[in-house]
Amino acid sequence: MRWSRAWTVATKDMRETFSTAQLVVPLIIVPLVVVVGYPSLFLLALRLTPGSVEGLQGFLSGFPDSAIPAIPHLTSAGRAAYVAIVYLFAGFFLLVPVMVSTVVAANSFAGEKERRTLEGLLYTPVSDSELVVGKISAAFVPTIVFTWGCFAVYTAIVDLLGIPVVGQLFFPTASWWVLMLLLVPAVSLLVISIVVLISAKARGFQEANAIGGSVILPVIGLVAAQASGLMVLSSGLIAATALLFALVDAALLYLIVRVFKRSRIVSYLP
Amino acid sequence: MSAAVEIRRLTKTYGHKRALDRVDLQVEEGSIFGFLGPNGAGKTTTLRILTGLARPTKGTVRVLGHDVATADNAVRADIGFLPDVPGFYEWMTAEEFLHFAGGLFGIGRKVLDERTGVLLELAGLTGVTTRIGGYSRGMKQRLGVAQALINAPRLLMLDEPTSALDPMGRKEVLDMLQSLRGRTTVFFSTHILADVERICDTVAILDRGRVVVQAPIDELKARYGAEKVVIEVGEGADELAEAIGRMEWATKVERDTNGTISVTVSDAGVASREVPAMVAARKLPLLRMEAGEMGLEEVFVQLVGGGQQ
Repeated sequence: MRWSRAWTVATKDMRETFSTAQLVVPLIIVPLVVVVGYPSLFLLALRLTPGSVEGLQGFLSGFPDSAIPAIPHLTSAGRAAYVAIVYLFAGFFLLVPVMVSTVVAANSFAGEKERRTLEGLLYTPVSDSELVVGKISAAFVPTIVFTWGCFAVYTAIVDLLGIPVVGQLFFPTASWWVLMLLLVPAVSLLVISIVVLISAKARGFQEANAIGGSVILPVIGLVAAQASGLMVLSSGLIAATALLFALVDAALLYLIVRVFKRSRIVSYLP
Repeated sequence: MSAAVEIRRLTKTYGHKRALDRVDLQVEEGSIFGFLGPNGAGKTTTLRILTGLARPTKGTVRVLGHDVATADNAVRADIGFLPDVPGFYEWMTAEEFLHFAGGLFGIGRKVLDERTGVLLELAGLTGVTTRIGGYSRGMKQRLGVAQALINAPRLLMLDEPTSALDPMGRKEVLDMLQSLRGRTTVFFSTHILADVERICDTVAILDRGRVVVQAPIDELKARYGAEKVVIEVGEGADELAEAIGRMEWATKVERDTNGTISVTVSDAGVASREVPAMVAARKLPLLRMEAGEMGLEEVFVQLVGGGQQ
């Protein structure tokens, strides 16, 4: 396998993705709402109307005391801010990479079929494995860069608006670092691999995106469990989950590289 | 001279449909080879097999000495290909597109820069900085040919390279292919007979999955088209045509409105002796008489059958 060829495919795809408004607009709007909008509004509401925390008691009671570290002089509003920033929004940070990777990966083969550029690519000596690795990289790299960028923005916002409410620097926690550095890449790679395969069989981007979008459902379940306090993930548990995903990723990548055959894609060409 | 393409008893079936049926084909290295056939004859299927994108059901296919069944990536490294409806990344410039294509072949930066310049020149696109999305069809097709040449292929394959072009665009692409003569083997499929006649050395005609004939164009025309006599008289053409039609050596008589009679003959020698005598006996003014030659179109219709084009 020649990485330079795979990287040629990947860089072309990345340039193409970010020059297509149909792909870029949702990639900007949704994270903007989730990463900037929700936490900003939540923290501003707590600062401007501290009484509003009374309405959150039911939500807060779902979280065990052990989930919140001993912070001196922590008010009810501070406790609410901590729980929301550290636990409630954590799930969104799995939704962002899953959403980004689904959109980009759905476009990988299906977009090329729609624009009739895939056939030319298949007639080159780029091997099947170089092609599939290039396509996966083209979705993986921007997904991770974008998610980490969102994480940096989120950190800046919650520290700026959250420290006055909580009373000290509290973010990012250890579990967030594990989430960002291990779980996000592992989950993204899994989603991308599945959606790239779907994209190879789909006839167009919309079809691939619609089918690929269903992989977001298990993540929504995880988000809901985390947000309700049903499942408060510690950094150890997150690391173990990431390891599990990484093993599945390795197995799936091995399988994809072995079973991916361009002659099968050709049969889907017009 | 060695063979760039060698196909032996190639059969390809899709379910119950037989797309190719015991095809034999040989393309000599350095030639410009026309692969002619009506739409649906199996040309694209053959090209897909030659490039390793489809597997033969039966038979052997060797391209530049490689068996495509086992060496598809090695084959693709040595060939250039232009599909029938080539897609372009419309947001790229021609130079970016050629650099991208070269990257897929793993060509080093220095060589790629040099080659890009030469190919842009060949395609008449030097100095064109607009994005491909703004190109005419002819410009795109010329760029497509340039892209297919980026790896300096020993064999250039083109699937219907002129079918979507206007006459000017066709001429430009054909001139470009013509300029490659002697430098690389060109194999192109088409259903446009005039294109084959204009630039090809050898032609194979494919019909319903079978090669009905393969030969150098001159030989083909000589084999199927030499037996023809064209006569032009000032008056009395109808009566003369009727009389000629009764002769044993006349297999087919056609009349033009301007007094020209085209006769397909079984023996050109006898015809060339008897026709002047028939004209003289009727005291008709003979304006022209010549041994005619069937064009490739007539050969094609004769071999494939009318009504398919």
